[in-house]
Amino acid sequence: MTGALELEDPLRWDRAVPPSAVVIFGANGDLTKRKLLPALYRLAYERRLPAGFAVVGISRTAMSDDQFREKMRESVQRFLEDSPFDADLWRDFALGLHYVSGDIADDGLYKAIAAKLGEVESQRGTAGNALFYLSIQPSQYEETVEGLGRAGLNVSRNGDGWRRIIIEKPFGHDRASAKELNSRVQRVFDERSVYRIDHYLGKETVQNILAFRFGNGIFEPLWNRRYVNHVQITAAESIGVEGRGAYYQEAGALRDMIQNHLLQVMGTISMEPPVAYESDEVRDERAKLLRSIHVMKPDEVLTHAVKGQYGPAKIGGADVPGFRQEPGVAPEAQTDTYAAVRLTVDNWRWAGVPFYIRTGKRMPKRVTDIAIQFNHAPLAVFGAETGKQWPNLLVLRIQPEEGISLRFYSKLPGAGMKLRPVTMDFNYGTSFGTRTPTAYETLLLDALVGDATLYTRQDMVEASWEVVQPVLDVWSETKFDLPNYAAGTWGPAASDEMLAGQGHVWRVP
Amino acid sequence: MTGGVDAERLLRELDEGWRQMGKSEGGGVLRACSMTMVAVSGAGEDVQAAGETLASIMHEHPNRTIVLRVDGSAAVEARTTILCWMPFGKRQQVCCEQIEIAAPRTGLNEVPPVLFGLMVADLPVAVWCGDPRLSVLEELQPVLRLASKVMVDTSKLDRADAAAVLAKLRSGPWLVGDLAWARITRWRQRVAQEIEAGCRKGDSEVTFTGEGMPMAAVYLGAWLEGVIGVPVPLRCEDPAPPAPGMGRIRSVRLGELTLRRTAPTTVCVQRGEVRASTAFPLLRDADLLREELGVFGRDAQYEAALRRVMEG
Ligand SMILES: NC(=O)c1ccc[n+]([C@@H]2O[C@H](COP(=O)([O-])OP(=O)(O)OC[C@H]3O[C@@H](n4cnc5c(N)ncnc54)[C@H](OP(=O)(O)O)[C@@H]3O)[C@@H](O)[C@H]2O)c1
Repeated sequence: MTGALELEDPLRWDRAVPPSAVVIFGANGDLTKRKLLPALYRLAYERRLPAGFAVVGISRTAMSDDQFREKMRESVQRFLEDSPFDADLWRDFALGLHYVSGDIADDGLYKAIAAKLGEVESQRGTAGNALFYLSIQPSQYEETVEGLGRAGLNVSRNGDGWRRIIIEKPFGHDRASAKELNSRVQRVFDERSVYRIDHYLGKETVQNILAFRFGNGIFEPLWNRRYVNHVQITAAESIGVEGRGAYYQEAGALRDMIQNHLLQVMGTISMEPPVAYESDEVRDERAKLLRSIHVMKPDEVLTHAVKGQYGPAKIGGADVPGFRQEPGVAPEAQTDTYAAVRLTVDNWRWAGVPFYIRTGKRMPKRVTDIAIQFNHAPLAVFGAETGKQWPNLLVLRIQPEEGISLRFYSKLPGAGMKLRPVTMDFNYGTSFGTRTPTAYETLLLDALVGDATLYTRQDMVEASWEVVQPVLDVWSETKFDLPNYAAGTWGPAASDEMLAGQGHVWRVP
Repeated sequence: MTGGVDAERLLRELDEGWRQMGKSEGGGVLRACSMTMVAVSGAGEDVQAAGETLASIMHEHPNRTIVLRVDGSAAVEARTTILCWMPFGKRQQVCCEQIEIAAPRTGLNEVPPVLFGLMVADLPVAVWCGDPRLSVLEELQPVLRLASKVMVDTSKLDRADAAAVLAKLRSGPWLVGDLAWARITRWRQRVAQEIEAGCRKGDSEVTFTGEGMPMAAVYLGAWLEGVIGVPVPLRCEDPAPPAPGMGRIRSVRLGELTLRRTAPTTVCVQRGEVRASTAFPLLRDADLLREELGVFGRDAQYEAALRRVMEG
C-alpha cells in the first residue's frame, strides 16, 4: 500500500488510537472526575485521539448530555495536572461526551447504552469500537459484565469493531472471589479483551525499572542470589485513611497494597528478561515470577508476616487519631493499616534471597521505593567494619522523587585510608524536567490501542492472591493486640524483629 | 594557541564554580549532563533569546553548552557560567555548565581545538546552528565531524538556499535535523492518525501564507507525496505575513480530510461529517530542539522526505 510506512514515525509519535468510544460506568464518581476525564482530555490535547472519538458516561443520577459536559468541564479544569486547559479544544471534545442514566441492575440500561453507542457510531464515526470502564464499586463488577453480555454489548453490532473492558482495583477480596470474578468475566469477554488495572504498573518509574534492568548490560549480571543479599520494598504513606475508614476497615494494607501493587512491583524487579517488549512476553515473565513466590504454610505466617495498626499520637504539636478513632471504623477493628511480609522466590536466580515488603499508613513520610542490598565485599581490606555497615545499595525510587541512587564507598579526602559511604543519585524528574504522563493517561491509551503489557492478567491476579491468602487466613483467625505502632513511626517492633531474625534491618527511606 | 583562550583554563574555572556552588548550597547541587551541545550563532542573532532557548532545553537534556558566537569580536574570547534551577519547587538545585566563546569570522579556524578540549568525555555531541549557513562554514567542519547530530533551522531560508545548505550538510557522517521538519510533526501525526482511522485518501493540497515558499510546507508536501504516491501541490493562500503565532502553514487537504489552522493554538479537523479540534500549542525553538534531541538515530522518515525535496 502506498505510504503505509509514512504513517508511522515512532521516533516522533506513538501509536494512534483508532476511532472508538469509552463507556464509563460510574461517570458521576470520584475516579471519573479526578482521573479519567482529565486523562482523556489530556490525551486529546496531546493529539493522541482521533476525530472519531466519544465518551459515554453512565451512572444513576439523571443528567442531560449538556449537564454532564458541564460537570466534566469543571472537573477537567480542576484536576488537570501540569497541563493547560484549552477552551477551543474542549468545545469540540465535549461534543463527543454523552450521558446515559440508569441502574446497573436494570436491563433497560444496557439497551439504552446500545442505542447510544449506535447513535455515537453514526455521529462520531467510532467504527463500533468500545472500551468499557468499570469505575464502580467492586461488588457491582459481575452484575455489570453480565448485563453487558445479556445485551450483546460484548461484541460490536456488525462484528468488525472491538470490545474491551477495564476493571478497576480491587480485583476480588480473596483468592476464591478473584477466581469467581475471573470466571464470570470470562464468560462474557475473552481474556484478551479484559484489562485489569493496576495503576502502579502505569507509573513511569515502574516502567523505568524495565528500562534500567533490560536496557543496560551492567546490572543484570549482578541481579541474582550470588550478589544480592536481600531486597526491601517500601510503600509508606504519611496520611491516614482520610474518610475512607469504612472501606479500609474491610480491605486492610495487605489487600489494598501488597496483593496487587507491590507484588507487581516485586515481579517487575525480579522477573526474567522477556524475549521482547510485547504484552504477552512481559506478562508471561511477570506471571512466572509471581507463581515462583514461595507460598507460606500457616505456621510460617507468624515468622514471615507482621500485622500492624496505628494508634493515636501527637505529631508536631497536633493530635493525630488512631485508626480505631477514625470515622466509620469499629472500636475493636482488627484491620491491618501496616503489613510486612518476608517472601522468597523458588527459582535458580533468587533461591534464598529474602524480599521484604512493607506498607503502612501514618508512617513518617510518603515514600515508595525498592532497595537492592548487595553482599559485602568478600574481603575487608580497609578494616573489619568497612563494608559491613554500609554495603552497596541500589535504590529505585518510585515516589515522590523518582530516581535511582547507588551507594558505594569512597575514600575520605586527606591522609589515611578512611572510607565513607556516598550516594550517586540520578533523579528522573530533575534530569528530564518534562511532564510525565499520569498513570491513567498511559493506561487508557494502552487499552485504546490494545496493548495490555501494563495490565494484569488472570494468572497474575490469581498467583498474587495465592501468595497473600495464607496470611489473610491466619490473620483472620488470630486476635491481635492492636494498635501496635504509634502514628508517625515506621511500624510495629515485630516488623524489625522479623528482619533482625535474618540479620537484617529495615532501611530508613 | 588561540589568543589566550585555552580549554584547560576554562575547565578549571568551571571546577572552581562547582566548588563555590557546593559551599554556598547547604542542600548540595546536582550536576547533570547527558551531552555536549555546541550552539553556533551569528552576529545578527538575538543573543538573549538564544540563551533562553538553550537554558530551557537543559531541563530535559542536561548538558554542557558551548555557545560559539561568530561575530565582530577582535579576538577569540571566552567565559564560563554555571546555570542552575530548582526543579518543581524542590530545594536541591540542578546545575549545568555553559561556556561562551566569541570569535571573529577570521579567527574561526582557531576555535575547533578549544572546543575539542571542552567536550564532555564519553557523551554525544550535538551541534545547533540557528542560521543554517553557519553549519557549512569550512572552519567548523572538524567540529561537525565529532558531532552525532547537527541541527539547523531552514525556516528563514528560501527553498533554493535551504536545499543548497542541506545538500552540503547531508554529505557528512553526522545525522541532520531540521527544525523546519520538526515544525510539521503535529500536522503529519494528525493526518496519519486519521488515515489509520479509516479516512479515505484522495487529492491533496497544502496551503500557506506569506511570501516565498516556507520549508515547512515543502517538507509537508514531500511527506504527503510519500503517503499518496503523487506530487502534492503547494499553494499560497495569502501573500500577507501570518498573524503572530499562526505559523505559515494554513491547511492540509487529503481526500475527505481537511486540517485547517483557525487560531494560533487550534487546528480544526474535518473528516467527512465529523469535526474535532486539536491543540497546536505554540512552538518555541526550544520545543523543536527538544524534539530533535529526542531523535538520536537514523530518521528514515526525514531522510525520505529530504530526498524528495532534493529531487523535486
Ligand atoms: N477514587 C479513586 O481515586 C480510586 C482509586 C483507585 C481505584 N478506585 C476504584 O474505582 C472505582 C470507583 O471509585 P469511585 O471513588 O469513583 O467511586 P464513587 O465516587 O463512589 O462513584 C461510584 C459511581 O458509581 C455509580 N453507581 C453506583 N451504584 C450504581 C448503580 N447501581 N447503577 C449505576 N451507577 C451506579 C455512582 O453513580 P451516582 O453518583 O449517579 O449514584 C457513581 O457515579 C471503585 O472500584 C474503586 O475501588 C478508585
